[in-house]
Amino acid sequence: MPIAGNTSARERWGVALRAFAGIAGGYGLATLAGIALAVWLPASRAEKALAGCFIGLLVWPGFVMFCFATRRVGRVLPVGVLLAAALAGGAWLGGWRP
Amino acid sequence: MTGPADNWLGAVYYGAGRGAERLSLRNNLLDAPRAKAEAINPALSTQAAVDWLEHNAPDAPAWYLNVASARMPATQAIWWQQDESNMRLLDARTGQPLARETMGGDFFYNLHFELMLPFPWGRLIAAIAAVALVLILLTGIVTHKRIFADFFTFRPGKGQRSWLDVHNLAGVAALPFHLMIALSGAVLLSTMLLPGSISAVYGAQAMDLGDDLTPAMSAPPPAGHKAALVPLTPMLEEALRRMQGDGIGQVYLYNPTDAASVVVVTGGNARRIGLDTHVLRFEGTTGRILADYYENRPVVVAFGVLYGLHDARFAPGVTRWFYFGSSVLLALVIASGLRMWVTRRLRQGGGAGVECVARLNVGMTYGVPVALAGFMLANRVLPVGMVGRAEAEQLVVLVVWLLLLGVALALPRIMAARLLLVCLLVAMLTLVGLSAPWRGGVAQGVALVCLAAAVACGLALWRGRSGQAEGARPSAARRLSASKGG
Repeated sequence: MPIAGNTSARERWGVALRAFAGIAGGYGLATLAGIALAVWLPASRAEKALAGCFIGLLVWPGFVMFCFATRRVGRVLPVGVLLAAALAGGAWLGGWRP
Repeated sequence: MTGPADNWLGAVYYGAGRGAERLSLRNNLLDAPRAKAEAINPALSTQAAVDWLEHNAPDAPAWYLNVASARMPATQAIWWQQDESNMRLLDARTGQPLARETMGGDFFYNLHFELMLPFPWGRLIAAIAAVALVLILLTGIVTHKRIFADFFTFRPGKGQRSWLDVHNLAGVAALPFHLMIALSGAVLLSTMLLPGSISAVYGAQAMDLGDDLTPAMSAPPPAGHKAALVPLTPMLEEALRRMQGDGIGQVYLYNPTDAASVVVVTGGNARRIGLDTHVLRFEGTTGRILADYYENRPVVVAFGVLYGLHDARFAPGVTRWFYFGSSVLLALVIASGLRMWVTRRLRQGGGAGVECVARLNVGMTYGVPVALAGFMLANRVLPVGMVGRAEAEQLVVLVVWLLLLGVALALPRIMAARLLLVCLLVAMLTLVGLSAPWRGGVAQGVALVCLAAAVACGLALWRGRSGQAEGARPSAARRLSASKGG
């Protein structure tokens, strides 16, 4: 693992981008996954809301790990957008209106 | 992922380890009359507390009581008045407030998820730290592929390599516990951290979620005219019968002096992990049962069980020691991680920033335990009956903490570390002395832990004098930086 002192500016920007995409993008995906689960889960209102919160806690760290695991930084954005579109679309079909 | 953010996380963990013992500690810090299990009658002690509240907080919209038990031989009463929260610990027999005004173990409990910050900031930071810990643990599992081999690898006396081994060993030994506690902690605060799904389901009525989660515990609107509460004892005895050995945990009284008064009784955790599983609701003016609610919705039960696992109210003594030991292990992971991060960068030249972090690490690692010990020392030393005593105890923690951070920033690292170690040694030995005559398991446990910490401080000081471990072994250090292990 390269550490501070012998990394190029390019690599550092890559790490910053991955971190930003993972934290901010991951939060957005976690919220969308929670909403999609909440609208589709056949259960009471309280259970829908609570299950949505739970799933977000797994999606968020999962996406951060993906952002750092993937070889090219350029892959993060399309994958993130695709996932977000799928989740938002699913939630929309379930009756969610932002 | 180190530096100041992890220091906070460390503080959370430190608080959590002690918070797990909060009930017992509270008992220890209170000097409440020591009572045997059979001597505490939950129904009578609660009745006594309510009698006191009827005279001293008649206008409060609700009284929230934690029922006295063998572990905590006083009723804890909480109520709001003019937007200000009040807490009193009431004697289990007389219902009168205890003389020694203190936050007790609740201080550690509140610190571990509110960080002494105003709502909601402390909880948000704690929630983010919990998710970060989940992430760190998951990435750790992926990184340490040879997790089993790492567990059995320990090479002492080899400088940085030994620190790495300790880091791995402590991280792996209680990994399932750490995952459980981090994930359940995140789940407890998740409604705050990820409110998206709540607003998708509830829209603007997000506050309704609370009532939907625990329908038998909802607060009714007041009728507007006064009416007397019937005696509580028959209701509580009926509740004890229906709880079938679980005991009772909490008693809420809504609109206690109003015609629309309601008494809510939640089941205890003598036989189950989950919280708020069984709830009874009575009409306060008649004692009639309004609801006997048993939670069986899968998602809500899962929430209750995760909450219960995190809170450990169910846990007998041995389990509590495992909780404590596991959180000590995580503190060790954090401390060794901070040390390795800084040592490597210092060796590469560092600079003012790294030197500053290194000094702050010393202030955090040794300063936090001294400051928290300061709370317990203040609890013993401040005069009983002093005005604002509970606040003064907390102020001591902040002042000591900031003071020691300042000392650590101002002095060279080794000198600061030695000075703070001496402080910690003295604080621990004083605590052992002040908790004499060590009656009861909790006082003995606290004294033993303090004694062990004092011995560890002594060993560290002695080893530090007889040859500075890092400096004495440059070859091992060089080998490590060449192989870039870790």
